[in-house]
Amino acid sequence: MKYDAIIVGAGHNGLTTAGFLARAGLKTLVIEKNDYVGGAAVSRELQPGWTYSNCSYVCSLLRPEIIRALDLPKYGLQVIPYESGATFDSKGNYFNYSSDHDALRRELIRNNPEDADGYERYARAVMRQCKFIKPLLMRTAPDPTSFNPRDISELLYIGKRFYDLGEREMAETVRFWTMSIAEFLDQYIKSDIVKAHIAGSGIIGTGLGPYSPGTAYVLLHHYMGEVDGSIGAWGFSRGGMGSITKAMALSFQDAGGEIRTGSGLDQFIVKNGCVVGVALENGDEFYADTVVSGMDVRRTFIEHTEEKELPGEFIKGVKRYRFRGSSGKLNIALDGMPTFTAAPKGAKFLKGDLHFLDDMAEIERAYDDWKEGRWSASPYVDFLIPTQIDPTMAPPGKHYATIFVQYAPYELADGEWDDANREAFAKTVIDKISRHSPDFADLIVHKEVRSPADIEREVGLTEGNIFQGELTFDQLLFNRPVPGYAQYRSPIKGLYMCGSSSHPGGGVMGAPGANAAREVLLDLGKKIDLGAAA
Amino acid sequence: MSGDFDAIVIGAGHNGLVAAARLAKEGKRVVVLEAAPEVGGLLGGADPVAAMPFGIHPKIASGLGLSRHGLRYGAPMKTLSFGGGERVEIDGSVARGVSPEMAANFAELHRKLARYSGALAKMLAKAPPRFRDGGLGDMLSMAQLGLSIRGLGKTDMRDMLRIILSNVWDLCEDEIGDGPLAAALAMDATLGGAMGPRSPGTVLTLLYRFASTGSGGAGQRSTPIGGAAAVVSTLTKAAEASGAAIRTSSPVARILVDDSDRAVGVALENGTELRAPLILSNATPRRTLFDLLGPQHLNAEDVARLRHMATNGMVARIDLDLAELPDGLSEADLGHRIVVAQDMRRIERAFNAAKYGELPEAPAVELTGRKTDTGWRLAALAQFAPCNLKGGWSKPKKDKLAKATIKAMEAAIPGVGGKITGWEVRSPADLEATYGLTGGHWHHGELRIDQMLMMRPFAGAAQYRMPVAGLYLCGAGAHPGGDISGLPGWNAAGQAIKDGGAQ
Repeated sequence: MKYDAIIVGAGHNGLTTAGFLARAGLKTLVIEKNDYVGGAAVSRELQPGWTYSNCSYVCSLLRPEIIRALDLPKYGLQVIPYESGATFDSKGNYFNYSSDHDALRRELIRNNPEDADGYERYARAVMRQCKFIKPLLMRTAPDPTSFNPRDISELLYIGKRFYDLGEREMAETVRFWTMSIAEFLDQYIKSDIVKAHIAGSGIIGTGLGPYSPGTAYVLLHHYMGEVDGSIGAWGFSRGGMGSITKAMALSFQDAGGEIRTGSGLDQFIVKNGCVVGVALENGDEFYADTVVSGMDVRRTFIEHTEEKELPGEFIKGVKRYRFRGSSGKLNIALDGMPTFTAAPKGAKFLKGDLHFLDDMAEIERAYDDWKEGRWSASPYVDFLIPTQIDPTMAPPGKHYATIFVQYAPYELADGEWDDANREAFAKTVIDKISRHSPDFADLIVHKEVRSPADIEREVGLTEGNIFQGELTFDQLLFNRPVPGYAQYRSPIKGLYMCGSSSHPGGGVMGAPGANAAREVLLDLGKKIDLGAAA
Repeated sequence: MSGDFDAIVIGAGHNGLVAAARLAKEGKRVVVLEAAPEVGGLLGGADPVAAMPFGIHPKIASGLGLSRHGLRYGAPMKTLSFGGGERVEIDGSVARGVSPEMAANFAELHRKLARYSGALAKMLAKAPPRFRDGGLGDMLSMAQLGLSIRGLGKTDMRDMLRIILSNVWDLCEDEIGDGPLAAALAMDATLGGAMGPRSPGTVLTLLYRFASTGSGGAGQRSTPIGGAAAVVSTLTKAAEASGAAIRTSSPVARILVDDSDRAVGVALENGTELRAPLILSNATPRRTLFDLLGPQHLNAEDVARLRHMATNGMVARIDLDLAELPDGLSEADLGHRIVVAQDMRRIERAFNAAKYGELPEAPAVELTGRKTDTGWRLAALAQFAPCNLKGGWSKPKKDKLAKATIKAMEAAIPGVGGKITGWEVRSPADLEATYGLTGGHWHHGELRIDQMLMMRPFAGAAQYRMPVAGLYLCGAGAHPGGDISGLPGWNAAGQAIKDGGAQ
């Protein structure tokens, strides 16, 4: 059967591209290897009565332009912000982050009086960086080596935005993009626990420690989102992260799109350097002159494209592209709400993200373990119980806990990711939480343990890297995924990339998907409105 | 404005001497004030801290006529890198002791780094442009950098823009794999700084090293015949020949500032005041601005910048006495750069401990050696030994470091441990105390993108002009930073001459 466009992979980026193409009038097919859509943005009932957001688990980055253009609220998307969070230290103290300015100030002063002002300066500095980067997200990164007018004008656009910052701020921007999160925070904040609370955002999903240069940028990557216009806010997608991709799928189907689940791609069909369709594992073949891959760059070109179709330099670039899974995940069904020894009775911050840390060095040591092929002995965890805000995810009175764990290596130095090691990994995490919540372990009804290897196997993310590739400068902007191929096009005519391996990278953002759609439509001579703000 | 001198240079390190020589050559009446009884800074003394000085920039050597004053370079040094029992030899882009395939890969990588560093080299030899508002000259400077990168051609330019902020670990992993060859490059990329091979930014420091290693060609060092002492004596002669006065044992207490916030002279610790419209400081940025000038002359933002400048030194100097050489080392070897690190993984591990203010179990070492009356003396640079060691530096800590270093050397060069009869350790804290070197940091501050070029030592003060008119920074804390290139001194003097004391 012949389509105008085929999208491989029904993750949030694939569905975003598909949604835009269908709305532009293209007869579009999405194929998906799993029996369900969503990729890494899914809601799954793995224990009867409980819904797990078993990969991505919180929402902030999804571009509002995409939400509007694809009309996602109409198809059921509802994001509920959680307005606070906390870090507990081993001495029984805690820091309660809050989006309420006065409450946050009180809490900063309680920990260290000097930090109230320091935090204000920190927040302003980060906000300035957010404002600088935001307009770049929904644009295609220019190729700095090209003399093509569009590349030059895009370069000038970025150059002008940079120039307009003024000398001081230009320097601050260069420093911010290259510094470690630890040194960045040291400039503003004194209290170890406050620094530790913030620093986590600089390393989530990343094979770097908080002392590594380049991690301040990763913080930005977790800060540049918004919920209902509130920049930097995070929230739960009601019904789990799957509600996002479900809304995208419905929006796409409403625009005439077609989705086929249950059979993955075997190979892209390429003739004379042009893509002409896809061959599925079940033997089906579908044809289109435009094929867009939502898979990461290694799966797309090393596993599913014949080597002879690609230039050697490109293959070298793809093989060199770094994944380095560094994150694990526990999804836990709870019989009730656990208590936290240090939390005051009725503490609202338990509804947000919880961490258990003394200082940034603890995260750095966790990173040192990962470098040696071990999961962290005292890992960084991002622990949330979304059912306090979204009761739809568990039976009445019961709860669901999502525990993101940094760091866990894709390959263990000793042994494999087998059941015994998965269990030992889970024990390390649960023991750490239990030191702060004595009843937590006893409340566990069911748990799903996911190593980077499991994430790779189920979701298809190479080495379990949640961003479809590291967010280091050598893999950002015009370098992502391969220099010269950062404009969503591949060496094969008609074959495009729309996954997080492309600019601006991972997180449930949708920007790569939207940008890829724009490039496809440009090549087809069609104009596209990605949304008013784009 | 009249004064005793046209210019005062604080500190007779090699950069101070270069600055003085250039100013004097331009006809300025110059005095150099050195706190210590002898000149040379880290290049001074019987066993100078900088045991392998290389790369006085050719522009300076010819500009000051250093060869006339006796500066001669020896044959280019090789790098000998030891793995457990094996040894590889690096001679420019030629690697020996490895498979032909590896040698070819190394040669290709080496040539690539040489090309990229060539594109950056022009930026080192002049004042960095300001980000903006710097005028036409600065814009041309930026354009020139852009053009020299573009001049590499599309493939190289793409590759350079990809790796430039990346880490030496990934680069070597991609091109040559881990082992003694990679260790040698990783030592070049990390020695003197507070970054491990995995730290992003270490490719840039490696390119810097390539760009600043003078006469032996990119990445290959030659040291002058006569070593550090020869560098110091020729620079001294060059300065004095042009009429500069050098006063040792003359510690400066503070920089004098007049009512219009202009530096007008210095007060020595003995109370003497000397006046000049141009003051050039070879001291570190923090020592210059906080201790000698005083924060009252700075705005709050600059104070904050300076306070947060990364300056934690991580190299200890260990002199090891040997009665005789072990089988694995010959007398000829000692004239070369010897790397004892085995592989990048071990260097990274050595860095792990230092991050927390602890000593590594197996330090990574670069060394050279010389014959003494009684045997041999190896000058070992051991990293990572943090200046801010937990509990402070003490004799037991130094001994612990020396023993760990000897053990690490023994693992790479079997037999060396048993030959060592004594040691002397100079910690970064000792360097700070002896030379006024903030944090004991060789380069007066980390060489990292956020402290380089127009941000060295901090944005707005990166063109050698300090926030107070008439005061210039001429040491490694200014662009282009550390190593023995002399460029900070040369460039600073150029800037001061341009301003003519009437800035």
